[in-house]
Amino acid sequence: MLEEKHNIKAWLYLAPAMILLLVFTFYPIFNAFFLVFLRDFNFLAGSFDGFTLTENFVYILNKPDFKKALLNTLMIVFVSVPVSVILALLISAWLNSIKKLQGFFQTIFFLPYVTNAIAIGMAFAFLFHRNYGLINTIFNWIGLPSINWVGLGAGYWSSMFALLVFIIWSGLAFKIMVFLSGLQSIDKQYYDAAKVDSTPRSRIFTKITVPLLSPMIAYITITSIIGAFKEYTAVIGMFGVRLGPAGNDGALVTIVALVYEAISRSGSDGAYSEAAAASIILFAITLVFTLINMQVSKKRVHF
Amino acid sequence: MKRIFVLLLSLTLVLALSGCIFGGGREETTVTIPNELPDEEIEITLWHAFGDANQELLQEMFDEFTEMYPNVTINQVTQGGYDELRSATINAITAGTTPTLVMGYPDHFVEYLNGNALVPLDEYIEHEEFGVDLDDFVPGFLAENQQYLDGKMYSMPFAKSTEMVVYNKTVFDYHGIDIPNDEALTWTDLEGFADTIIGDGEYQCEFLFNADSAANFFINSSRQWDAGYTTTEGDVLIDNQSTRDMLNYYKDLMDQDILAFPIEWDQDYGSTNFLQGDVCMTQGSTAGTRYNIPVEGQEGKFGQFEVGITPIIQLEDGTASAIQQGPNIAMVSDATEAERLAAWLLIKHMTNTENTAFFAMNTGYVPVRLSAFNDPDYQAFLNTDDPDRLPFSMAANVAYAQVDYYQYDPAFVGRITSSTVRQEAGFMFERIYSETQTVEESLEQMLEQLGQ
Amino acid sequence: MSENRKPTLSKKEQAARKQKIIRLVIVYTLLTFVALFIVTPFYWMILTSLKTAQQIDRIPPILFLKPGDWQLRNFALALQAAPYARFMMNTVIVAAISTFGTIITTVLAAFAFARINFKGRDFIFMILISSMMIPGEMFVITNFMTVNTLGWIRDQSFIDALAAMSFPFMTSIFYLFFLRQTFKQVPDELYLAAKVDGTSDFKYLLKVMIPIAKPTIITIIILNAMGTWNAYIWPNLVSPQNENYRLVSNGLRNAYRDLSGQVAYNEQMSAALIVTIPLLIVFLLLKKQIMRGVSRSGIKG
Repeated sequence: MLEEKHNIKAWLYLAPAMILLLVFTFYPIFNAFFLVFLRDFNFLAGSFDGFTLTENFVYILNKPDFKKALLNTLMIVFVSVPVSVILALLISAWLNSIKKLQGFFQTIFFLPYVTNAIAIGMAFAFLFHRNYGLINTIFNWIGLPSINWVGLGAGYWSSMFALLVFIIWSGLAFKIMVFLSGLQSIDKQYYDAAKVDSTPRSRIFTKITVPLLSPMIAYITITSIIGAFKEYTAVIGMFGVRLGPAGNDGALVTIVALVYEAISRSGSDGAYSEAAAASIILFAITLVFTLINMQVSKKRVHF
Repeated sequence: MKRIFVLLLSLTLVLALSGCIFGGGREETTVTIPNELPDEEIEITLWHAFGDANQELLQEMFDEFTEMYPNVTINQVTQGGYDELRSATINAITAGTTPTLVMGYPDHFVEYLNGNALVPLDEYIEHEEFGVDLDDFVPGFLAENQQYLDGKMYSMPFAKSTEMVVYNKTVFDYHGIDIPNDEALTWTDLEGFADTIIGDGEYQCEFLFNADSAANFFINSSRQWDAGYTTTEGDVLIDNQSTRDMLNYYKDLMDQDILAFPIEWDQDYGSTNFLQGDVCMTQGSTAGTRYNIPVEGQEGKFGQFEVGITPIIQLEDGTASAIQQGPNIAMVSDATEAERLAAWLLIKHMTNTENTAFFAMNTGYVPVRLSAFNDPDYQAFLNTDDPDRLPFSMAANVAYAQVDYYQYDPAFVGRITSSTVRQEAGFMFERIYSETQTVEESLEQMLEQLGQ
Repeated sequence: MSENRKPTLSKKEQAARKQKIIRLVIVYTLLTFVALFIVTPFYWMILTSLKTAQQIDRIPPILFLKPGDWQLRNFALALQAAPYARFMMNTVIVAAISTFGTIITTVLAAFAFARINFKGRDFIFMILISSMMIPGEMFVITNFMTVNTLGWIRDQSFIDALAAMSFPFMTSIFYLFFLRQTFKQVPDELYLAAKVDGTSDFKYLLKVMIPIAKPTIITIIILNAMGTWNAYIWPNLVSPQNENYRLVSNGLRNAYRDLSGQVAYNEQMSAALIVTIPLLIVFLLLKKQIMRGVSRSGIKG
């Protein structure tokens, strides 16, 4: 009986969000989901030529770019997420530990969030310029040769590296903000207790801070993974529609890039179904990894 | 709770399945033309991708029109860029919120046609009272608008441009090389210039020739070499020996620093490096003339040098061919008969001799009518003495010189579209240039990408 | 006890103090390096906005400009390139509406997920998370049709445009998740204590939860508002009939493109900066709110 009462109450609290979500999130998803089973779907005329279970999936999986897109996407996820989460944790811990200039640094670290993506893509392309970019300049200072990061004929690894740096840079601001506000909310009592025991700082960090911050770490990790699987705009920002350095087009293609490519042909029969198929494949992969992540972290998240 | 949620979710699913979302299918468009424009208030809308400057020019034409037909109101809305214009139009067609007239490329129009969303203009063109004389239009431009599979004409040319070659006149004059403004050079000529012009001497450049668009270069060269490109049905014809011969020839030129692309300098356009003296000739859109003109105090090897403009390079003993670009205007089928007639009259007005000359003179575009080239104002423009206007005038002269051999590349939709092929062609040429792949590998990869 | 004791520190305290200083120096140094890493692209943006068109093309590029060489006119020109004032006003209104909606829906829903025990809670939450895994582009056309069915596209008035731009974004699973984590961190004891006092759930939400989660809520407000600032595709799509209804990103992207596609980068950067500064000011004003840690003095014993 008590449970039922809670159900109705929950319902009331959830209603505003749910209505909006049903209309603007789930309805579109079902539409898209439905499309993948149509053959030759003509988006403009709303017509199609029969049903198919696997044709659209097979088409996407057989695309010459698919394997590359999958590998690139996975690499982006497995490198950029851990690196940026750990970096953000450390940075916010450092920020939290200083008093003077904390506000100043905090504002600086927030800058990537307010800046314009186009402008920044250009700035990064300059940073990695093969002749006079800042990175190569520093390399030369310390005696290393210049590398062709993203220029004419640049290789896969150098351009992927530059892309990852860009992605990590862009993602830091939000993570730092979340972690910092999380850190600031931790009750001083916990630290006072530790101080009384004169626990070393690193132990305080790993045994007290991180567990107390674990809900935020979980949140950031999960949402970062989901976001990294969908990465596309960073590639466009840095390389344009070529999706790679000149002479190596499509080197950094991602799964979402395949979705966009299909949608750019939306006037053609079957294009939207292709986009839907790619999205569903992506969804499945992301879901698997997210579930794994959630299982693994279940024991480590303390509220 | 869980049950309620799942119930709601299923409801949404059913709604989606019941198909009350996509497409109001349209029937084939029937055209009936009233005998005269009705008196009632008529409102027509035009969507394009122009910026402020061109919008003002359009507005002048519109104001003239509304003086003749006071009951017609014209709205123009820019969508920002061509990609945005295309997605806005496609969404509008699906939602039924379309404008009366839309500008765009044949690539876009074939998509709209796939939904029966455009009005065939043939009956308007041939109409006794309201028609136009197609013979006066530039044949190449017309052909582009007549290419649609059922043979009907679904759009009219409006803002066409072409490519031209800007060269460093100071350097060429120094070496006593005279380049005509109205006759095309050939690649053989360029090979002849190589030893003189290429080098690091005082009046030399590191590279001889830059082509802004590798894609255009491929497409146009395919025609010059009779190597086949694509068809309106969507066939890709490039897998043959002529294409290979062509690619190998240009690779050879690349090796000699005769031919370069902007990616050589990690740029999108060659203008920057042309102005700085890294390359002595650059081929690009007539719309980009002003970017290739050195300014006072120009930095670079030659300072503020003199420029000349010449038609795009042809192939000796090849087929003459110059690329044409720029949007056309189409009419959308959702409009009423009265609105359609008004829209047609507006198209007619915008493309009449006077207006097409006017528009061309004030932009980088080319007039779409042959008679416009003889318009007195336009003639004055072509023969101007004004040094500031000279480059634009030269570009216009070049556009006219090429008028007999404008070619378009066929537009089609499907698993691969004409835009896809064009893009892949550009990338392929870039791979050859950067030597990340051999000619054969690069061509193979392009064919693979296109599912051939 | 002994008023005249000289303030000498014991050996242990001296060592501790020294350690503290070393640690501070290291931390400040690290932070400075990170700050340089963060700021460098930004510096490039500012530099570009102050250059002439020619200086932008120069090789090797200019890395520093004397104040005398600053082309401040770029900013004046940039302001004229597009009706920024109107675009900014539109953006502020849309940001306000969608943020207001987001806060209301998110706070209520997060409370439900964090505090209320109901059947299928975790299952439903998982479904919500899963919906984030679909790329945004797939939603666009359906939402466009929906918004059209709601009558906001045809014969669009300004209000219609505002509605079309903000309604699809009046709730966010992304922020819902964030807030739910924060709410879940509020100890059960507080809730039970409130229950003992006879407080209703809603009052508890208002009087206890929200104040505790204020840093998170302010963060969400800032981030959501900024999202509107950068939104481009959707606002343009739903205001195809009237450019005046569009948002600030429209001016930034399109005002500097011309026929041949070439862009006046210095002006575009100046415009980007002009548009960024209000965001920075908002952030500066609100960040104290985020950073004020909340003392849990509510828990006694």
